[in-house]
Amino acid sequence: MIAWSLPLVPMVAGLAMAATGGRVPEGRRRRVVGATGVAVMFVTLVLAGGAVVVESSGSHDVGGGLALHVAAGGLPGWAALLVSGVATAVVAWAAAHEDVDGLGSLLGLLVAFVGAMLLLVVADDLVTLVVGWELVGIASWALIGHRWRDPSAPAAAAHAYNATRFGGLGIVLAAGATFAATGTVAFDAIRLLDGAALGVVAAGILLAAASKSALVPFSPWLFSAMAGPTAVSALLHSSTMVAAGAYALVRLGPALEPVGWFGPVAIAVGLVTALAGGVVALLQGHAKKLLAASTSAQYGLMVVAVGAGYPVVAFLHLAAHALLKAHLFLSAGVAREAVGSHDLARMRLGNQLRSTAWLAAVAALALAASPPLGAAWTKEEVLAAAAHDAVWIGLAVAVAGGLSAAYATRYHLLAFGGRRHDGPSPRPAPLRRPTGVEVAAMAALGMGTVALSVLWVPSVHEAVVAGLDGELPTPAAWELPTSLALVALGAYVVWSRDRSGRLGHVPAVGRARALADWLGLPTLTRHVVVTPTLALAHALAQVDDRVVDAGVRGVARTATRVSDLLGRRVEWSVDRVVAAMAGGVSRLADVFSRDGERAVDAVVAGVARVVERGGRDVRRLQTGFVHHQYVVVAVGVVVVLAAAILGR
Amino acid sequence: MTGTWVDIAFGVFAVAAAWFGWRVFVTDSMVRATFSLLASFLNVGAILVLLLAEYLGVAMFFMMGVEMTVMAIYMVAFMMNPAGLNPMQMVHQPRVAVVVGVLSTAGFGAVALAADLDTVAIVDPDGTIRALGHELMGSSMLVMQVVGVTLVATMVGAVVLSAASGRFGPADVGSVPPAIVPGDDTTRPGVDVGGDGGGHDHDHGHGGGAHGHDDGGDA
Amino acid sequence: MTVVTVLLVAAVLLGIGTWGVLSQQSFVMIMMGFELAINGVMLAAGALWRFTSGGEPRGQVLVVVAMLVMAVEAAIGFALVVAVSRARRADTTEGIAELRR
Repeated sequence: MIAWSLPLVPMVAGLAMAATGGRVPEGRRRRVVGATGVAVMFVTLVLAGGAVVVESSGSHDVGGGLALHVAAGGLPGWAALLVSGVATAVVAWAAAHEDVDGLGSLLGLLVAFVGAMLLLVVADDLVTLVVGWELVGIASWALIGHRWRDPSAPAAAAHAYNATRFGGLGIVLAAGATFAATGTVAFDAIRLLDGAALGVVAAGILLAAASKSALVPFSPWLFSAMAGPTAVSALLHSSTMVAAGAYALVRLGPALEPVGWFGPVAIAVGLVTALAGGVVALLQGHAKKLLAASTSAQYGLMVVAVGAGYPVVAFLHLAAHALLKAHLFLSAGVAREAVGSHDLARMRLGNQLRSTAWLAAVAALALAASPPLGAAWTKEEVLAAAAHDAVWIGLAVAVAGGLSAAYATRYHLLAFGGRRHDGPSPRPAPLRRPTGVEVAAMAALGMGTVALSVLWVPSVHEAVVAGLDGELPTPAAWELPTSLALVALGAYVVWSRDRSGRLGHVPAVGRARALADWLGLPTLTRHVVVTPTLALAHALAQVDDRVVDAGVRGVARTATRVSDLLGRRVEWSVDRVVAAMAGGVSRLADVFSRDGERAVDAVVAGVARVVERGGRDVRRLQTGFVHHQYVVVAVGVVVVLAAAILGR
Repeated sequence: MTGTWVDIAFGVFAVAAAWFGWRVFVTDSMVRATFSLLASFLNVGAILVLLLAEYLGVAMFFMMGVEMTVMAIYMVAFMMNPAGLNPMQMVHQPRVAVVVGVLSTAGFGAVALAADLDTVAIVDPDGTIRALGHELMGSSMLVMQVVGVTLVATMVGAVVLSAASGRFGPADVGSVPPAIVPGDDTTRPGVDVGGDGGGHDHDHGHGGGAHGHDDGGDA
Repeated sequence: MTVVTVLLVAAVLLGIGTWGVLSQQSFVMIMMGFELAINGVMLAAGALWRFTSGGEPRGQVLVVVAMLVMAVEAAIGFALVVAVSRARRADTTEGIAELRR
C-alpha cells in the first residue's frame, strides 16, 4: 500500500495544484499554494518514513501479460526518504522565493516531479522503471521551460529532454532484452540472464544512466537545464532526475557484474566525467553552471564506485551529495536575487548576506570533502573502492577530489567571500534579502549535511552499510593522507589565487571560454551528431530524387549502350586491354625509380634532422650551472622511485 | 616514558625539526640560518634518542654543535648580511625548486606509505649501546677503519684544496690565463669584477697567508 | 610514533633540503640544504633500524656511515668553496660556468 501511495500521492496532488493554483488570487497565492505544497511533501515524507520501517510491495496488472511492480523497504525506502526530505526543503524554499506569477504551476509540477522520481525509486521491474524514467523526463521538460515567454527556455528544455530521452532508449532496450530472454521484466530476472542478452542489458542501462546523470558525453544538457528556475535546478541536481541515473546503476549494478566490460567501462566514463567536470567547474563564471559541472563530476565518482563493485558506497555518496548540492543551489539562487545576475564576478556577498554565507560555507566544505563532514567520509570510501580496483584509479579519484576542493573553494570565495580591498566600494545593498522561510529551508539541509558526520563513527557506518546489504572496501594506509593532502592543496591553490586577486577574472573569450563550456563538447556534438544527421537526411532525400528516379531512366539507357558494345568487334577491345596494361606497368616502374628514391632519401634526411635536433636540445641542458644539474638529478630520483612503486 | 608521552614528544620534535629546517632557507640572517639548521639537527637527534638510538642521538648533538659553529664562521666570512639587517633574497629558479621539493617529498612519502613494513620489536632495548660498541669494535671493524681513513683523507684533501699556496707556488697556477705583462694581476678572472652583489667583503688577498682551516676536525 | 610517521618526517626534511639546494644561490646555503637532506636520510635509517630490524646493531652502523658522508661533504665542500672563491672570486653557482657545453 505504502509502495503505491508514495509516488501517487504527490503526483495526483501536484497535478491538481498545477491545474488550480493559478485561480488563487495573487495576494494569497504564495501562502495558500506554498502551504499546500509543503503539506503534500510532508505527507510524502511521513510515507517514506513508513516505507523505511515497513516492507511493502504491490503490483498492477496492465494486461498483455505485463504487470507493474513496486516495492519499498531497504535501499528504495531510504532513497525515497532522501528524495522526499530534500524535496520538502526545496518546495518550501521555492514557495517563499520564486515569482508569484506562475507559482501554482511551478510548485504543482515540482511536487509531481518528486512523485515521478518516487515511482522510479520504488520500481521493482524494468517497465515501471521506464514509466518513472519518462515521467521524470517529461516533468523536467515542463519545469526547465517554466519561463516559456523567454524564447531560449523552451529550446533549453528540448535539449535536456532530447539528451535524456535518447539515453532512456537504453532502458527500453534492456527491458526488451530481458523480456525476450526470460518472459518477465522483474529486476530479479536480470540475474538469470547471461551472455549476449546480459551484455545488451548492461549497455542499455549504462547508456541510460550516463545520459540521465549527465556523464560524458551527455554532460552539456545540464548546462541547458540551468534555464529553469533555481528551485528546479536544486531539485534536479540533488535527489531527482540526475540522481535517477546513479540510482538505477546502484539498483541494477550488482546484477550486471558478470559482464566483464561493465566495471571497466563504468569506471572509465565516471573518471573522465569526474576529471573533466572538475576542470569545467574551475573555469566557469556562471554560478549555477559551476555547480552543474560539479554535479557531473560528483556523479562521475559515484559511477566509479559502482564500476568498482561497491554500489552502497555510491548510494551513500549520492545521499551526502543530494543534501549539500540542493543547499548550494538554494544559496546560488539567493545570491542571484541579491545581485540580479548569475555572474560570479559580481557577487562576493559575504558581508551583505552573512547568514546565507555561513550556511553555504557548510555545504561548500562538504563539497570540498573536508572532514568531519559525512560527504568527506563517502568520498574517502569511493577512493578506497576505486583503489581496490587499481592504485592509479584511486590516485585519479584523489585528484578529482582535489579538483572538487578547488572548485568548492572557488564557488564559495566568489559567491560569498568577503569584499576585496581593491573591489568597488562601498558595495550596493543587495536587491533582495532571503526571507526566514528560505533561510530555514537552507538551515534544514545544512543540518542534514552536518548530521551525516556520524558516518565517520565506525559502529554507525558499519550498521548503515549492513542495513543496506552492502559491504565496504578496506582502505589502504596511503589513501587518507594522500586524498587529504590533495584536498588541502586544491583549496590552498584557489585561496592563494584569490589572495593575489587573480580568481575573480573569468575568461570571456578564446580557448578558456570553450573549455568552460564543457570542453567544447556541445560544438563537437553539433559537428559530429547534429550536422551529419541533417546532412544524411538531405542526402537521402537527394538519393531518392536523383538516384532512384535516375536509376529507372539509367537502366533503359544502359541496356541500349550494352547492346551497342556487344555489337562491336571483340578482338579490338582485347588489343586495347593488353596495350593499356603494358603502358601501366612501364609507368609504375617509372614512378618507383623516381619517387621511391626520393622517399628513401627523405626518410634518411628526416632521421638525421631529428637526431641533430635531439643533440642540440641535449646540449642545451649543459649550462654548466650546478643548480640545473641538481634539478635533473632530483627529478631522475623521483622518477626512479615512482617506477619502482608503480611497477611493483 | 610511556607510549603516549613518546608520541607527544615525537610530534613536538618532528614539527620543530621540519619548521627549523624551513626557516633555514627563508631567514635573512645567515647566522640565524645556521643556528636554525643546528636546531633542526638537535630535534632529529632527540627523535633518534626516542628511537632508542641513544648513542647516535648524542653523537648528533656533539657533532652538529661543532659543525654548525664552524659553518656560522663560514657564513660570516663568505656571505654578505650575516646579521640579517637588510632584507635579502638570493635564490634562483624558485618555482622549479618548490616543485621538485614537493615532488621528492611526495615521492619518498609515497615510498613510506606504500612499503609493506613489518614491525619487529627490539630484542634487548637496554643493551643497544653496548651492542653497537661491540659491533663497531668487532665485526664491523672494517667499516670503522674505512671511516677513519676516509676522515684522514678528507682532512688532507681539505687542507690541500683550500690552501692559498701549494708547494710550488700559487695553488691556481695553470687555471688562469698568462699575464700580458709579467707580474700583472688584472687578467685573473674576477679580480676587477668585485663580486656580483656589492658589499662583498673579500678578505682573501692573492698570495696572502695561508688561510688554514680545520673543518676536518668536526667529524 | 610508528615507522610510517617517522619516515614521513624524514621525507619532509629531505624535501626541504632538496628545495633549499635547488633554490639557493650561495654555495654555503646549498651545502646547508645537503646537510638537511642527509639529516632526513639518517632519520629514515634510524627509524628502519628501530622498527624493522629487531635491534640489529649493523643498522646503526649505517647511520654512522651517513654521518661520515655528511662530515666529508662539509669538509671537502668548504675546501672547494674556499678554492673557488680564491680562484674565481665566486661564491654563487652563477659565478662559475666553466662546464658549459
